[in-house]
Amino acid sequence: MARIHVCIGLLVCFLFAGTASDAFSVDSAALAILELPVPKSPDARKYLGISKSGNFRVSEITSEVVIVEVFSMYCPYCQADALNVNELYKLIESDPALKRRIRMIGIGTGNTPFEVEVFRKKYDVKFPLFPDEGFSVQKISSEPIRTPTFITLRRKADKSFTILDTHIGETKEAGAFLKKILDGVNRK
Amino acid sequence: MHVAIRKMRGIVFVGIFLFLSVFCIGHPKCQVPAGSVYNPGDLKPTDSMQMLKVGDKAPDFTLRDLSGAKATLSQFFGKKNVVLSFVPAAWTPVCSQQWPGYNIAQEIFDEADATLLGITVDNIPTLYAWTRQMGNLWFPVLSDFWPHGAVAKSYGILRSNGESERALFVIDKQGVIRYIDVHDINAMPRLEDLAQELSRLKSSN
Repeated sequence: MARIHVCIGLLVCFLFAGTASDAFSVDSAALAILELPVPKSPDARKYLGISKSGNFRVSEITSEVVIVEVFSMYCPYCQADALNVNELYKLIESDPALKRRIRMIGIGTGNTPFEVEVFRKKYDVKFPLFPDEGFSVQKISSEPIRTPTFITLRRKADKSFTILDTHIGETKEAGAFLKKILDGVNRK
Repeated sequence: MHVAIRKMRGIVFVGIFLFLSVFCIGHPKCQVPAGSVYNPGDLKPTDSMQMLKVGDKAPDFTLRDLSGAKATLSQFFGKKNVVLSFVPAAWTPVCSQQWPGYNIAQEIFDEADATLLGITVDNIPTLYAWTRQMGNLWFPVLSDFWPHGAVAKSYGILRSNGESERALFVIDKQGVIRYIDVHDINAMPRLEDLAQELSRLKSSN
């Protein structure tokens, strides 16, 4: 019987290899000062609390928590997960308390504005997405950031951001993903 | 008794294997292990002698798709514009994302009354396994495996190691090449560049 267990164990490890998160570190300070173009849409600017023009820094987003999705229009896993991520946004927006505390953005690593727009239209993404043709977001990490990766930032008392959670891979189930984020928020 | 127990073990093991195979491998969201994508490092951007130019007649060819059916370029002449997307090899980093990108941009091709043909020099079983992780592609994927890379060679984009360049050819309904992008093999062609050419083709039709 033990032999069967070993075989099953090996089989499961083989089949699910690659779904586990690799350990890598994100530089919260580098992410905080990452510059993104101010969205053209007034609704998006209002959502982020940005009133200026030109570029803004991630740290200028006014909410307590920011979930940053690093994605690519070309990534099949980001495509497959897009509806789950939309559901996550909906869950947050439908709860007045969460809506006040959490913002979501997506950064299309290596993507042009045109490519990000194709992704946004295809999946009807409601939260702001930003192009990153120069792979700037990759510079915030010690290792190449795979897509999708979700980095959750939380504002500390001194207004700087700290990394609350880094999730590599698909969210898979919005409710469980949100719970994980909220557990982290409430714990710290 | 021992024989019966052994049989039971066998049945349980095979059952679990089949369940996991169908559930995971066949599942559209199943992650391909990151280690399955071979990283060749930085390669020479291009490694072939381009023979064709815009305005030339596109060399005709017949290749097999993943179902084994034959697809001939000239079957589209007079009916559809055609985009040929050659990618160097299955299971390599940029190639594994280029076609999934085109897969969500079908509208851009449809608006220009164009079809897309994806081509690599890999054999059909390899292409089948590789494209399964991309979801359901709306365009056919063709194998230029044997005679090895013959179509890539006729388009002047067969590299010295037997792979093809990362190249795009836009061919109009008359079979004339209207756009060529033999791209740096290490980088993704910008989607808007192709979209712009297709848009130009649409307005000239």
